[in-house]
Amino acid sequence: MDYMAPDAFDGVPSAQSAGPVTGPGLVDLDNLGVNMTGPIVKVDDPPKFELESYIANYTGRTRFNRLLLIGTCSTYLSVEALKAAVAEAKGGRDVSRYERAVRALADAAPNDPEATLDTNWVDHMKKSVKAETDRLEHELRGYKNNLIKESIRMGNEDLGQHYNQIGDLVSASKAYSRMRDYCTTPTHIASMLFKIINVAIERGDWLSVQSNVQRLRNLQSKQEEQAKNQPKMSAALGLSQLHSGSYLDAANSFLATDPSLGDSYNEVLTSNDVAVYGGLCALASMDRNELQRRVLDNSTFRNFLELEPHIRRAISFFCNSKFRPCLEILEAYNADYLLDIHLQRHIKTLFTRIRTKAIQQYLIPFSRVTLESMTKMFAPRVVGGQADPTDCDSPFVQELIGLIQDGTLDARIDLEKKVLVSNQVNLRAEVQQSVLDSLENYAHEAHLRILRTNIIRAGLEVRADDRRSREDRSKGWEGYGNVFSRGSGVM
Amino acid sequence: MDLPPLSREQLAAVVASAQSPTELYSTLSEYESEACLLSTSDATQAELLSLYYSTFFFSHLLTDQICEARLSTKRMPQDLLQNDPSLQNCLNLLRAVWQRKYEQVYTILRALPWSEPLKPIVQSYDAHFQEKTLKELSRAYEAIRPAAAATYLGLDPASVEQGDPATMQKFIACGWTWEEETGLLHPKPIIEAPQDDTKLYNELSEVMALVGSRRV
Amino acid sequence: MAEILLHLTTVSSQLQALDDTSDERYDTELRDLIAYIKQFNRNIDSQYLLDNLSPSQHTLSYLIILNLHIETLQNQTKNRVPDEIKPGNDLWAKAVYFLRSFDPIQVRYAGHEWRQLVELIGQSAEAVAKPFLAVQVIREALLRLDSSGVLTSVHITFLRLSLISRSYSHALPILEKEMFRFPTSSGQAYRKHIERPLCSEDTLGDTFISDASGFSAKLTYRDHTSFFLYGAMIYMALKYWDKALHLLTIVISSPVNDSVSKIMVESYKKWVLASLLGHGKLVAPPKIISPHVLKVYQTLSKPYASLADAFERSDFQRLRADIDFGRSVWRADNNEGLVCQLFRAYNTFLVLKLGRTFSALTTADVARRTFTSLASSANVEEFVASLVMSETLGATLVHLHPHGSATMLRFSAPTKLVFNKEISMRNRLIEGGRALRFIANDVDQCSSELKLGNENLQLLSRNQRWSDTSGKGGGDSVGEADGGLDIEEDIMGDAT
Repeated sequence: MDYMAPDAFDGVPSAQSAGPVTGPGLVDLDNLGVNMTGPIVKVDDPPKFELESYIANYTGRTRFNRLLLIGTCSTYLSVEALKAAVAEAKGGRDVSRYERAVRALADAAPNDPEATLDTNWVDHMKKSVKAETDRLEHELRGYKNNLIKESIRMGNEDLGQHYNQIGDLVSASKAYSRMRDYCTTPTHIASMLFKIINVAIERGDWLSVQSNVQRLRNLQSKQEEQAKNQPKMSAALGLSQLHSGSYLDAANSFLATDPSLGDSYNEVLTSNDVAVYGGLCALASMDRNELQRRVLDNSTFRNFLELEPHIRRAISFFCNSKFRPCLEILEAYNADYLLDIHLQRHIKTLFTRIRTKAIQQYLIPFSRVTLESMTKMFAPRVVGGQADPTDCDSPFVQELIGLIQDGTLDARIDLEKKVLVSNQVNLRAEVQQSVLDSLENYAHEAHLRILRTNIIRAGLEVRADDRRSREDRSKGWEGYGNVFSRGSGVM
Repeated sequence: MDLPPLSREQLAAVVASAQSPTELYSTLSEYESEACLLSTSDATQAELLSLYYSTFFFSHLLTDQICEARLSTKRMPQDLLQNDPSLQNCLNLLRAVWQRKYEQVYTILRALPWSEPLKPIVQSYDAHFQEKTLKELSRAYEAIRPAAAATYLGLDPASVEQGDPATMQKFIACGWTWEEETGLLHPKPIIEAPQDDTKLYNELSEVMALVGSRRV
Repeated sequence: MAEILLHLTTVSSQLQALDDTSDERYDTELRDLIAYIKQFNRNIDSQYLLDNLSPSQHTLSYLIILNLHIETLQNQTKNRVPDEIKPGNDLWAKAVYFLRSFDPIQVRYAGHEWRQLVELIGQSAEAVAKPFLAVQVIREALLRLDSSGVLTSVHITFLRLSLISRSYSHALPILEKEMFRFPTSSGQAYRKHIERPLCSEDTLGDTFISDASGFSAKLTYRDHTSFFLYGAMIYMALKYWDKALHLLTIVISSPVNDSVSKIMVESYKKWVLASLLGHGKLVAPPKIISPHVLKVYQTLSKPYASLADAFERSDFQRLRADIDFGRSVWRADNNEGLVCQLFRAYNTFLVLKLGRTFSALTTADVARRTFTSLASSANVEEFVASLVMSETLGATLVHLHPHGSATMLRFSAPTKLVFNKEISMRNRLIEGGRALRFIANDVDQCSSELKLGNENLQLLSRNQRWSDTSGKGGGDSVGEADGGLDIEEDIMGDAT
């Protein structure tokens, strides 16, 4: 567990991840393995959302994390977001966060009055935090001495909450885990598990998220209790699957999330997020039929989709084979996605998958398609810029070559007529080929095995010492078992 | 089994009487053992050997066994191979054919000095190589510049370039067409007769039945 | 002497006349004849007899007397290979003539003598450094004898001679007969019950070549592995990669008791190279090889693995570096020739792979996409043209008119590549069908032999608590096992 940076989202440039750090406030998610975008993303395009109303949807520590991410990545919103982050941090008790936000702001707007550290506040807060920690630890020790279960549980809970507030996520996680032995009702356990899950999400410890969701599932609790927990569980699970790159699983989890989620999970994500994450994962991993049946015709998920109509439109376009508008919508929202704390690392892969799938689906009805029409469909910007958009070296043709070589497209490029030719299946030739292959394989394999039997029978196995060959021969028959593995056939 | 002994006259007779290159090759390979017994230190025997091995070499080429021709040069007495001009020519020819250096092949066949008794077989190989290349060209090219075709076939590229009617006539005689505007020749591939499908089908099912019955 | 000759010839002519009579009668006559010849002392006039006997009619007499004659000479000159038997001399000619015309039925009664003569021919040809002379003779002798799938020591000698004399294609008629069996052990009890006379037409090589017949020296595991390795080397020299791979597969999957032999490791190295040269990638090793044996191979052939990796990843720089770096290894393993061919194979497979991505592109594009580090585009064009003309590549070339000297390479549709000629397809099918029938036959026979073998009978009697003492029980079990001949279908069940 230790190899994970303690609080991934907070991005303390810890010893483990000190390598390519280029600036403070870096959103460091490298330690999670599936990094597609590189250490720092700069988004120059203005996003479609309005910062204030956007951040108002969230509560808890995720507010700061999101603000800091937007502030460090978006050139457009940088100062506004970072100022909000500073204010957010100052409203809390996490000193390191405040310091980080101020440093980031100093980089973005050095002359801003808020870009200097309020040392008084820092000192005061440090002292207050220290006192609080001591107090809670002391109280807990007291409860332990008195052996009152419920008090110990609550003591740990308070301590966990405190550590969480001050940004010591490892200690928070430990404190919450210690509650386990003192939980007396399923409701207690559920609430404890959710706390652990939330910390794990903030830490980016997705394995822990998954295993704790599993624990929640196995919990023997009342029907209505389960129903209440389901939306959050599904959303948390979906999030962890998204981060581990299993997009189809993630899509399924998000699709299964009950709309009663509402704004109950705003310390992690909103219902809008579920619509966006679920929609994109589904687009990237399902074919047109499945999209129609499982996403658009899904009455529960429709509630989410209504919150994000652009996702709904993109999926409908895809289902109707209108790939250009579908991709255009997604491209238009690219800046938003890149400024999302969970999507940032995955959006590129998701886009590529959606695009590849679109190209595949586009080709299905054709036996040959001109490269020009494909370029218009999938790479309109290239058409304008380059002298010969269908040249062998154009990025789009290169993309097609890559897709053919990795087996995604069953087609070939004709650079003479500038068309993409899908490979015709010649059934007759294929049957003939397969007959020949199986014939040949059978003959070879049979030869190999007969020979092997006869070698063993004649006592000619390779052995280190030739003198033993005579003795071994008497027990040679045991070797047949290997050749005729269905021993009963021989007996 | 009882071959007449190897001699210059016998060799000439074999070359002259062979109905086909395959026959020539098989008769000559019968003599390889006998040749093995001859000595290279004796001048007349060495001369006979040189003639035999050169003829044998060409019989390989005439039956398109390039790989085997190369092996035969490894089996012959190496001192003879190194010193005999005919066999050295053969080696050069082999290299050119192996590497598909068409120009060189024709130069070696036509310009190098070949001994009098070898000349007929050298010429027949020239014709054979030309014809084989023509077939390959017809299949490989859908359109070809006349000069390139001429190089492949050992004709004079310059005269073809100027549209020498005699050479052009040769191409057209093989069913090729000449497109005036583009200046390109369009070769016509030699199409093989289609096979009887039902027969193949029956054989296929028979074989599959056999495979099936064995894979219970 | 004349009297002896008369006796020998009359026996033979009687035998000729006996053609229609029973095999048993023929068998007795031949055995009597051998007894008669064997009683000669060493000072008979063998020269006279040899001059007057015909190798094809009086095969047995001729062979035994010829051997006697040679033996006498060997004793006189104290030389294993006396001058008279060396190529070009009288005895050589006699021996060669005999081996080309002996009667394959009669010779079954004199396996020892036959093998002695064949081996001597090989030795004397080697003694004068003309192994080629022995190759053709031994090949014909082996074909006449027709061992029908039984491996003998003579086969191994033959392949070795073919290799050193570089007469690879001369070995093909022998190599193309697949080897399945080894000289049978005479210890199997059931043999007594089914034995036919040696001379019977129905007695096949697997019966008359037993460990006692003398047609083969005692074989060890080295012999059969070297036979298949030699065979593979011959196929590789002729560039028949698939056949070579099959033989190498046999060697590397040979059953092992406790260790892997050097021959097997050598074969594995060649197997790696042959599969690169033949398929452009490492083919999957046969499942029959146990994982730990495979591990041993892999540890002992690291440089080859690296070579294969570079080849498969189309990493030309590394391939070249690996080839240069490993020079001493390739040389020590005698694989330099094969490794050198990798360059051309590499380029060929690159162009072949292009055909999967493109259906048409200019040769200039080919040059740019694949041979960035290599030569001029004119060279590439020449190379591509040679691939197309030799039908290695299923494609056509088009000289373009307006584009200066550009050449378009049009690949044929992928399925067309192999089967544009149904006729070749048919031939392959028929050939495959024939091979299958042959193998099926052998599977049946092998399985019934297994069932009749001592070991299985012991097992049966143990399992069913049959008393071994009742003589009848043993007889019955033979009948039993024989009746259930449908089992062979199960035997290959796990081959799928």
